[in-house]
Amino acid sequence: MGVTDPSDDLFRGFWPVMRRFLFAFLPLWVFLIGYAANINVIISAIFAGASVSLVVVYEKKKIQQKINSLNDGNKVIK
Amino acid sequence: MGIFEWIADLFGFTAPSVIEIVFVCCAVFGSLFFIVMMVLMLVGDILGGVIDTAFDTDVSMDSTLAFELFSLQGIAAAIMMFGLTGMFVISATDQELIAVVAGGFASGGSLYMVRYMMQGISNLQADGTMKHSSAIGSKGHVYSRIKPNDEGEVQVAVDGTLRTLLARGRDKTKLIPSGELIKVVDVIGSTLIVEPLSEGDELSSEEE
Repeated sequence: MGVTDPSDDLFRGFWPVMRRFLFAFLPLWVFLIGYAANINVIISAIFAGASVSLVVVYEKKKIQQKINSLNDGNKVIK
Repeated sequence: MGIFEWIADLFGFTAPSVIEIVFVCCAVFGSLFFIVMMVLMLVGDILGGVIDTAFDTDVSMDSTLAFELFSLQGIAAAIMMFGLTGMFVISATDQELIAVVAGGFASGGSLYMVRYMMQGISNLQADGTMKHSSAIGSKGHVYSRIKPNDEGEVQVAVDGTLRTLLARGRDKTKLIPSGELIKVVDVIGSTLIVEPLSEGDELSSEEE
């Protein structure tokens, strides 16, 4: 039996690709920003590593939004 | 001189900084990958047509493969845009920080464009599944009378298609006769909850 990941359907199924891209390139981008801003390399690296967590937080937020919007469709007259 | 410096020198960056080398490499390798994928796609189509004709077969790209190809092209386009925008900004402003930020936004923008294109492609497919919730707010008429605390049938336009659906009155004690104009106020399961249109509602419908 297959287990479906709710994040697979985000952005019309394009999220898994975007997530992989962001996991790979967001830290690199953040590091380059730090490097270009002449921030210490170690601090830049810490920020770069921490930026990955933003992707996960964003994914969870979008899933929560989707669940909430689905629940809104189940209105019952009271 | 390393290969990266040589490539940067080729694009007019003498004694390039690390950021400039990154931009140039992204632009060169991203563009190469993007162009190769485009060529392969076109040649693949032509070769596919030749093979189809020669061997009387049907070689086609299924949706999964097409999706992966577009995804890969999206990533290649994003890397290419990062490099090109970064190179342009760094040449124009000589500010590495602005170039990195601008390149990042250009990269995200190109990825977003691919996503937008994918959305357009998926919109071309219609699964034909009717969402009952789309009927909320629609106006129509009673097809088969709705007895008090019982179900009847109504005809309403859902997603541009006129449909006959089960319905109950919002006011359980009220009989809604056939032909009465109604408005869908809610949906429970596949049953619509309707109420008769008031004069004001009818007028607003005509105005629309």
